[in-house]
Amino acid sequence: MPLRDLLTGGIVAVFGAVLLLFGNHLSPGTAVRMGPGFVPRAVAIGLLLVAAGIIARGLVSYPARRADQPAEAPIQWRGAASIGIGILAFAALIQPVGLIASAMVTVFVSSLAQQGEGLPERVVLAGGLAGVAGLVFSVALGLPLPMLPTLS
Amino acid sequence: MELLGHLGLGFEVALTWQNLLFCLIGALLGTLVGVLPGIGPATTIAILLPITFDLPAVGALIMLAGIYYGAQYGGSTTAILVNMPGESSGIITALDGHQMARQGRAGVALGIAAIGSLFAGTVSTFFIAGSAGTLSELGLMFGPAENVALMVLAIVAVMVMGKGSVLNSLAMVLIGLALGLIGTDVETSKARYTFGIAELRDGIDFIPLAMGLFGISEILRTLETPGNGDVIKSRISGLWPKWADLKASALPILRGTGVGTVLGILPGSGTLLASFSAYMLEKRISRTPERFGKGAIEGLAAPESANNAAAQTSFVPMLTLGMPSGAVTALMIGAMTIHGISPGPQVVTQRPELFWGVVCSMWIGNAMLLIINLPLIAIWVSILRIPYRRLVPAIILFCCIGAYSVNNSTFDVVVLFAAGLFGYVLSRLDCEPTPLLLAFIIGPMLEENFRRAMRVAHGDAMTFIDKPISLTLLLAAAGLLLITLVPGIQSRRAEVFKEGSS
Repeated sequence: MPLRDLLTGGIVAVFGAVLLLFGNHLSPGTAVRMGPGFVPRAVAIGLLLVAAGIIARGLVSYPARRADQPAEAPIQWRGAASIGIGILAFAALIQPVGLIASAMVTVFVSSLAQQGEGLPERVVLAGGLAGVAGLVFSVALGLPLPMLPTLS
Repeated sequence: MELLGHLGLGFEVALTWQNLLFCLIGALLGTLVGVLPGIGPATTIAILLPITFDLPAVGALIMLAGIYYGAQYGGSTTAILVNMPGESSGIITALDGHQMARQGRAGVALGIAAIGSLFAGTVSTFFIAGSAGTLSELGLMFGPAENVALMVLAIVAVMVMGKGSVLNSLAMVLIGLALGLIGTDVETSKARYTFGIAELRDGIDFIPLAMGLFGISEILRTLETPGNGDVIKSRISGLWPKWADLKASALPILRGTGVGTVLGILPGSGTLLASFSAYMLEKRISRTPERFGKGAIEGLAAPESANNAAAQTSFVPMLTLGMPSGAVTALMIGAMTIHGISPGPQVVTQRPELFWGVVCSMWIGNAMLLIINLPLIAIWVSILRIPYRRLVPAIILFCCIGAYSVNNSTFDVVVLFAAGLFGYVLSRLDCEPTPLLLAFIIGPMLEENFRRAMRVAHGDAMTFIDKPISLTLLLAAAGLLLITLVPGIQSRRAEVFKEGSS
């Protein structure tokens, strides 16, 4: 699958390029006294070489490897989006509105990852899990998580 | 008897009620999460890491070990009952275990798996106790150059033993090293790649990274195959195997334990190689090899024992040399570092109570699993019947709270998000997260030792080849890399994974 190798190589190359670009000011030092920039440069060069290797492999083996590729499961766009937004919502909400409300939002949004459940069920699940989380983490384990919005 | 003294100390530590409780909670939670279809031990540990965070170091490691065994046992339960193993070695368990379950012998299969695991756990605990001293003495002779060579060997071994292309694994290692660079340079206190973000000054926290790479991305992968698989519907009864079953599995358990104990020590090999080899061995020496894959009890007993023995002896290089041999031990090393213990040979001498306590609690954990799981099996089965769509939000919420609570930082939740999506992309691209995480965790140690070794040798890179131990380790790493280039072995390697995943 050339596309897959090209994509992998691209990601790897981006890491290498970022290391080089943003590590430019770090001094590599000498062999006896290595500075903070030596290992980053070495890793960056390694990343770029490996990226080139992966891309080359993708281009070379394109016709040969196509036949035995099993059919891929479709990408979970819906799942990735709702779970991703669910996690980000938690990050955004936990400090301003507290555990209960942010847990409800996270559970509700991430439950949208899968079909097959009605709105009332999702709401009940969100409320139930938020309640359990509050009991387990705030009350039983005593984590310093604010349960409710802090009024200030 | 030095050994008995050590074990005495270990049991003294492990048998305090707090540590027994930690072990029990770990085993229970590990089974609870490990039983979920498609979730393997590394993912379970990653998800549950935050709860061990506030415990004392010994308790945290004991609980993590308990989680690991629990997750393994839970995974076997799922493999037998649903044919949806959470990790690669569970695939071997499922071959005959699930067939037994289909023939109405699910109870016997679960019982034999538990008994075999306990036996293997007992033998390998003694093995660890016996060999740890010698290995750590060897480790104490290591200077920075030898440490570098050892870490290189660990990384290469994980690359070679993982599935998929070695080039991809190398890319993952380098990305892991790159992510490990973020933060303040230890020697010069210069900020590297922090992009002006205050939270990055101490580097990326490994807990949200591991949770995202393993937990979140694993969940997204499981969403790709809808449904729970078919859970065995009939009531499970007769967990205690009949005398004939015990007799038929006694020798396979013994052989599996031997195979697993030895293969588990090898860096990077993990449990898949152990259970696969044990299965093949049984099949080869059996007088009726055609029964394998159709519910042969030997085909379950041997790999389950091997699996557990290897899971346990894989702790040997981690505890004695500070070298992780896979995702699970890499996570444990990360946890040790959080608790201010620098992993390495000095742990045995400086923190004997920690070392021996953890070793002894391994055995206790195994015994607990047998005791708690046989009566609780009905609960695990009912968890298997919960629709996956209700479990997913619960796991996500748990991960969010866990990531947040480590430092009370919303930034860590954002890391969880990024690592989760990145992990999903990587797994879609056939890149394994294990080498990445391993390199991320040992990267900083590798750099520190490398720079120190070069300074000691006055900038002469030949120091890595001049020292005999370092040379041997580097040659071993080179040998492993070369092996993958041999065409015969390459196809054999593909075959192992193919057999494993079909």
